[in-house]
Amino acid sequence: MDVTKGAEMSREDIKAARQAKKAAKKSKENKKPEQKEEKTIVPKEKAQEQAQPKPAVVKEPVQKAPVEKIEETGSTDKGKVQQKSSKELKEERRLKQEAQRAAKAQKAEQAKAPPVIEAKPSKSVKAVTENVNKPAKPMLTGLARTIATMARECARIDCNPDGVHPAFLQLEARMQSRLLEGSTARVVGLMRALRSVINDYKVPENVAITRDLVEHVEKQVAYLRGRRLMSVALDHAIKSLRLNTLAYDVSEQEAKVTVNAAIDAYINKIEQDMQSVALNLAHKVKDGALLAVYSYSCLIMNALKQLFKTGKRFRVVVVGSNTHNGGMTMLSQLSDLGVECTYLLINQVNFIMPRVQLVLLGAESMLANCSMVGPAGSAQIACVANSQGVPVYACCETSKFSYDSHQGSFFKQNELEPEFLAPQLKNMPYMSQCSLRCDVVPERFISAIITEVTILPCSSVPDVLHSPSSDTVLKSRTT
Amino acid sequence: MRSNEYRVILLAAGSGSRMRDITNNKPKCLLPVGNMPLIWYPLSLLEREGFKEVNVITLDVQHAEVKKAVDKLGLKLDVKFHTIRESDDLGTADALKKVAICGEWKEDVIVMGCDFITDQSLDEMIKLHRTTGAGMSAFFFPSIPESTSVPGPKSKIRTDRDLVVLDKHNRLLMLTSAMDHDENMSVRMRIIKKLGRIDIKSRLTDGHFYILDNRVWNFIISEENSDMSLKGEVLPFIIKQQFSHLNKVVHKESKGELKRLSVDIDDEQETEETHKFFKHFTVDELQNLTDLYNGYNNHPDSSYGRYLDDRLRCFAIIAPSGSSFKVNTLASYCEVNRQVLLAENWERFAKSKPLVRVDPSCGSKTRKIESSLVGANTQIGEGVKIEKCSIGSSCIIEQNVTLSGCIIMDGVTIKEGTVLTDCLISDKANIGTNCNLKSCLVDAKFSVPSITESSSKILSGVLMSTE
Repeated sequence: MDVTKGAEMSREDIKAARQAKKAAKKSKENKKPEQKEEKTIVPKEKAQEQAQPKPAVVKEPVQKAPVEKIEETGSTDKGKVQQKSSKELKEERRLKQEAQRAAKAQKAEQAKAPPVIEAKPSKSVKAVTENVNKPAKPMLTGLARTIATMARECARIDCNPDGVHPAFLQLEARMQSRLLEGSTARVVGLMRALRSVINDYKVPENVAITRDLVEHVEKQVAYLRGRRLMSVALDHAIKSLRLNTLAYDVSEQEAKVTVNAAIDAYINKIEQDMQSVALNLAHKVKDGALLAVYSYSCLIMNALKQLFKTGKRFRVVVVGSNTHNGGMTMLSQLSDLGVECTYLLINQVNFIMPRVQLVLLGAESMLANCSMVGPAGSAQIACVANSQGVPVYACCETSKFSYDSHQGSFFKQNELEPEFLAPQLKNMPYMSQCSLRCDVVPERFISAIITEVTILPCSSVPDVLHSPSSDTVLKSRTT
Repeated sequence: MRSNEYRVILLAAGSGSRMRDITNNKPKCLLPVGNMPLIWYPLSLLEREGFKEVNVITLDVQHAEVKKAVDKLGLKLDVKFHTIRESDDLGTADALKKVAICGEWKEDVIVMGCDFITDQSLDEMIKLHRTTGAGMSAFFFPSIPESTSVPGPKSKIRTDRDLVVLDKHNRLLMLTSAMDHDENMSVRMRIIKKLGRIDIKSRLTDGHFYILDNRVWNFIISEENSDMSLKGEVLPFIIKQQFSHLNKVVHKESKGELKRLSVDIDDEQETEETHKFFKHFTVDELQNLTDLYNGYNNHPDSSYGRYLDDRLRCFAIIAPSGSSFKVNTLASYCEVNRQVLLAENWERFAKSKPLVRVDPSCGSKTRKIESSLVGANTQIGEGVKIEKCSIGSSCIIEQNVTLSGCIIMDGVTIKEGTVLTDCLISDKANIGTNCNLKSCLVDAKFSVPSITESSSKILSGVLMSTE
């Protein structure tokens, strides 16, 4: 049993060992699963245990916590039969402990204290009792614990923006504060930052420019990665620059020209892709249709703009969410165009869905298991649409297709939005808040994917990813 | 890490024109606040915020003195001095031009005054500047109340108020001084039409701490900028340009659609200066494109684009009350000295330096010292009562003196039996025996004869006007 508990227990082992050594000189066998309260119990227990075989144990039992009474009763039994050898007594004791430990092990798994509260090495009993006397912070379990972990990882660590170019610092600041939303906007922002980096770059002496430039750019990008702000589209964008295929003997000037040209080419590609998606979308939108869109997507915005200009008339229901104003942005831009719009919050989407002909969702990326990553809330819309038989079209360029595959809402590569609870609610003991930026729409809710190449059925995502065509050469495996 | 992003300029050539009484003989940047020279505060702020080098502008006549004082401070900053001639009587913007001669800077520039004391971290302001892509960011804080007591005659000095016009996102729409207007202040209709709701604040002090975008900096140091004073003329001008028609973000497709939103004034009608400005404020195409696709919009209910389609955006950050001081008037000088004496405030403003109340070189005779700061080598006699005072170094305070709420600079001699309340005694002054001074200001090197009783006066060898 000890072996399986392995790494988790080792720190507690050490503590326990120390405790035991202090109390007496036989310690190594006693490894117990620990929760916070148990730390108070453990040293005392051991102190008692060790004292067990010795007849002169009077003071300890008085101070014990209730849990230990089990042992105490045991001990009184033993007290009677003190003729038993100390070895046998230890034997019985150990068996009892192991039984109790097994029972507690399960509880311990579930109610493991979060790292913040967890580990102050309590060397003395005094220190431990002090801990207990502090106002008890409830232990976070399951979801809450994951959120706390995630929040910590996403937290702004002001370490090491050392060699990072100011343009990247600015980019990161905007992305972190949610002032730069939408993957296309972020890609263009990245390109702008890269352009500044490239223009300011000076190749050091006697170093091959290719390798150094790649490293330099990678260092900037690593700053974004460290903040968990990298997404599929961003990765593809950087790969498309093909920095590592620069010729070895190229001069700094030429290299800059080449890379700048690559940046321009990529921006053009983005714009062209958006136009192609617009064309493909035209097949699906009939005159006079009522469309539903969710939050802001520049891809959809552009497509609808093109459609409107070519004379198609349609009406739009813009569904927005309380926490970010993407919906309002979409609404104001559409109404500027002259499109008839309605605005709803997501909680009313059920009401409007029977009247809607089709739903357009802008995608952040498409996953290898054919589900769509979109702004948080897309899954709800897709679900409601599905239940009412309304087709849902995901609009996504192929450059956003990814090898990852997640189920349901995922934390791994997600970002947290800024907190939305009022300050006085935030500090309540059992409260933790979580507002995720992205959301996964399962494959079964999506009718088709509108890409710049063609309109794909949902299950074709892996085919596109694996296809050897030149466009998809870029789709090497991301992290 | 901040160094590769910002260049810092510290303006220490001010003559302290609003505090002539004490700046006659001493450079403003060396006035003691809490027994540290005034310039120490902005320098230590920069040091703890991670800056590695500073450019300090001083007057040539004060250069040696200031350099010596700064070197004595022992900061890890690399301080580069630039001097300007006092006789030239340059304004702040002109002074900046002189500095800029030494090279073209690619970074954004921070311009700050030597009289700026704050306990706020610059993180928030820098983050604001970065995330909004601001052309200019400024730092404001609530002014000290006008009723603070000031030594010297009670004159009705019309305090020089700044009028700051902000919108709800802390965007800086207009910045003027109350002195520039007679009775009325006018706000352009364009501003109100575009924003709908604006706040005009008159109790905010401008800390003279600006972060300037590189393009704005290039304009300021170029020949096209003919204004002399940064805060008085140049910055208000720049802030006004936010509402020029040339300030539009122009996307390739939407050129034709622009006119529908604005009053139909042609670009040519904009003044020449505006054109000159926008020549420097070049367009960043990709930034515009980013903003076009951006899902975030801080004015979602307006039909304008991000940041209201403005290329140039000026922002303000407002610090909480009591967090900052601008020491350019006698009132603020006295107030900050008072505040700094409290231990918790000292902690805030002078983070790196532990509070040493009474310098150990002062010896230990019987005396009562409360809430005060005493500098090095000051001799304090017996029976002396000191309460809430800042006493400089090398002073001689003889026996039975009572000091309350005073600011005493270096080298002062106070003879026995004197009672000073709320006074400001400048360098090397001499106060005779058994004087009783309330709220007086004693000029440097002046000897106050014994048994003087005075209240709310300036005691000086030179006849100075009481205005």
